[in-house]
Amino acid sequence: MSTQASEHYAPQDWSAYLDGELPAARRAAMREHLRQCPSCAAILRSFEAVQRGAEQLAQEPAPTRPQLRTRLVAVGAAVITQSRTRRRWLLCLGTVLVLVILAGLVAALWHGIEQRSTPSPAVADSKARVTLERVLITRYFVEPPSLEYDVTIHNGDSRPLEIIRVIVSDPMGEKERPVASALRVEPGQTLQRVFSRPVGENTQLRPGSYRILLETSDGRLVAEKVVP
Amino acid sequence: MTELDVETLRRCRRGDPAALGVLYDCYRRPVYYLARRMVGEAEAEDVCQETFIAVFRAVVKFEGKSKLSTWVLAVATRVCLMHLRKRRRQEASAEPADTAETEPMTLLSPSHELLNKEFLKRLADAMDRLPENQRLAVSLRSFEEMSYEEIARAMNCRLEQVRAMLFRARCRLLKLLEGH
Repeated sequence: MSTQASEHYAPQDWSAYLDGELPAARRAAMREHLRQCPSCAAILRSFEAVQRGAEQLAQEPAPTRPQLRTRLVAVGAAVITQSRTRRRWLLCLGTVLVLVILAGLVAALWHGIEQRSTPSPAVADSKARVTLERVLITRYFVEPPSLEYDVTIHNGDSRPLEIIRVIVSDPMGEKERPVASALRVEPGQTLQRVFSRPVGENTQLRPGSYRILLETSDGRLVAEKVVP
Repeated sequence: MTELDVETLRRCRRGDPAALGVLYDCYRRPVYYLARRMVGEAEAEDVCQETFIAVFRAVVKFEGKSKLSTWVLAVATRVCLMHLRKRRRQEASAEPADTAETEPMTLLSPSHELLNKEFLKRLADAMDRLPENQRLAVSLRSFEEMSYEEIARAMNCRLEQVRAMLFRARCRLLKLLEGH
């Protein structure tokens, strides 16, 4: 390859020149060179003949098949309709899923806020009381050790108190304890109960706050004990 | 190659059979030509059908980043290459590899340069004897509107490779034509 008029350009340059894929300045220099170089002009002419021939071949008409056209177009229309329907369904499904998830999140958030901010009506208005007498770790011969919450529940109200859910929390974590069937405390009745949760083999009672929450039909009762 | 207008393209995306017919009529010739060059006359019609089914299936997602003609030819290119791969697996044929070597430069004598029927027939034969990717590059370049960049995109290769493939293909074609 050369940029001097007296020297020749490489054949690959003429191939790119023919395709118009060279920068304008280079193209201009090569065009100038062509005027005085018959051998480069012959290379370009040969490439050009091949290229024009290929372009002419590409113009040949394709055989017509009207039936095939009709069939292909029908298949195409069916494929597109099917794909659009599927996309629409997926979009609907996606939207419904997103809405359900959002609703769930909002409900969970709302419930959380309510739990944190609403004072327990049972605690605020009623005469029902729960007292956490003591917490201790008991070790039996066969069963794994457990952390026990010794609780006294007194119902000073005129209507029965139903305990639906019990949640215990301590420095080691929070756990919901099962209540087989709703635990009922009659008006004026005082009840003693032990709620326990299993703990590890070598667990010791840690200092800190131990808390029990009784969820009742009317609200919540909470008792706390601090272990020094 | 003519391009479809925006409205027809929109109707194609909705699956309007009349618009799909227009798309088919618009690109059938170049797709058929490419298929015939790449896989031969016997399988060209199959490739054509597969290409249009693929085009119809994907036209909904066509974003207009390239010209529709370039996109259709890129789909046709992929279908052709798939057919060739399948055929190679079946026949385990020895396709002449596209070596980096360049043919010694042969020039056409002036009598050859007339684009007469005889010359075109010989050129078509010579094109059929080119290695696969050179044949593909020359065929795609036969559609005037396709730039090196568009060919590179259709063939999934670099621009420099297109430049080299076209040059080597032309040299080889000249040699094959001279050998007749």
